[in-house]
Amino acid sequence: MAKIEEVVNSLPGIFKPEKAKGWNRVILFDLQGEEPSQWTLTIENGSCSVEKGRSKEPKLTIMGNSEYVCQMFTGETPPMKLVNAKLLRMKGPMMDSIAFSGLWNIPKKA
Amino acid sequence: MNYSEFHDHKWAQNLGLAVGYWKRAEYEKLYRGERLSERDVFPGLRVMGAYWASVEHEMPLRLSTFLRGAGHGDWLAGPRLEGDPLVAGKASDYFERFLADMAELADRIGDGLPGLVADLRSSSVVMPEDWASSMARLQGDGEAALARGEFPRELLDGWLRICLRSVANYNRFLIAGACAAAAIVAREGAGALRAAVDATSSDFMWEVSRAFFATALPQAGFEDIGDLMELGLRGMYADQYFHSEPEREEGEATVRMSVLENCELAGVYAAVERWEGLEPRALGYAICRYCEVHGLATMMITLPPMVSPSYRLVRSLGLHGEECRFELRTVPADDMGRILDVQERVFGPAE
Repeated sequence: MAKIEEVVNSLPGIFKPEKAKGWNRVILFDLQGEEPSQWTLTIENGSCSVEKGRSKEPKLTIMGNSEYVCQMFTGETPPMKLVNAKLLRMKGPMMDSIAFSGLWNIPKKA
Repeated sequence: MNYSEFHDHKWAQNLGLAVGYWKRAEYEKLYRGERLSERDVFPGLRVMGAYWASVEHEMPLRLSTFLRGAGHGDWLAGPRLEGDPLVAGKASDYFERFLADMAELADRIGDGLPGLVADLRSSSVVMPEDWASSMARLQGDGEAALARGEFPRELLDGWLRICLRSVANYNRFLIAGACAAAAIVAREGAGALRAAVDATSSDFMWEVSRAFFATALPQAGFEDIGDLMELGLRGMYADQYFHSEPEREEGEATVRMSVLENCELAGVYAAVERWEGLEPRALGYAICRYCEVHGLATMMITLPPMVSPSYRLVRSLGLHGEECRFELRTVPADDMGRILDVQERVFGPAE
């Protein structure tokens, strides 16, 4: 199982800047479960950066257990499946939640 | 039964199921719903209440949009279409027939429903100003009761009351729309109906999306994407039998057909066509074209930006007398432009 720090720090590497044209947002991961922690993700002018903790006021907050975030970004479980099962919750503008899902080059698991 | 039980009264099946869950003390299923078969779901009280409140916002919008397109916005004067007394009289008469159906079905279910419908008939069905706070209170009480492992009868009755009132008010506007459409066809011809719809369908596409996603659903406590997905997956079973056919690939496109086996709108319009001596499906364009653009907007709003959607009505109860078939076709795309566009159209400029 990937650990949350490794997964969150991998996000700039799987970020698809061409999908985020005109979409600048601060996103907070507010996590419980195996590795309770907070991470601030900043998407601005086509770049993506991550900081530990809550460093800025978020527009979108993703809540749930850290292991589900790992499953989402490693391609183990489709994001919509986690959201539908309410294992992950996305608090913030509906359209931001939808746009967020399209920003990542998530590996496909057979 | 004045209206089709299959098309227009699925609400009764669901409220009957709700009473059954309550009597068996299956409170989680009562509140959160349960899949009944491959083609049917009991949505649960929380989703059902929000669904009815959101479509209750849609129906007055359909009526006012259509009348604006027909050049008869003045018919909307007063709460009962008093602008045209003849249409108003028929709308009132045919709505009474719907309430009579509700009473008949409530009698069949029993278990307190007849009294609730009788109360409804002796009071106003108009959506109260404080509907959202009432729903929020019921949601809070519902969650608290479930946490205690109970669900008092008065709490169930509170939920049944808001569903019954919404069902009645939704159908009041639906029936008024059918009466207005029938009057326009009778007085001005079928071409006038089609022209009214064509003149307004693209406006309706975004107006109804604003009514749903920016107004009614957030007020009903359905704002986060998980809640909205749940409502999308289960809500329409409040009044429909629905299934999707397996997806198929066509080149790079993925095609999914959604099949709506019944339609409350088509059922009401068919009844009004019959009572008004019109040909079957003479009024269908006034419902089906608006449904098609409403569906397209919903896909544009809810599908992620990795795909680009197209959506069309292939067959319908209102136009062809066959179950409604809507085709969703998605192709891989960089469609962030769509997300930004619908953000602005529905929710206003992003901060």
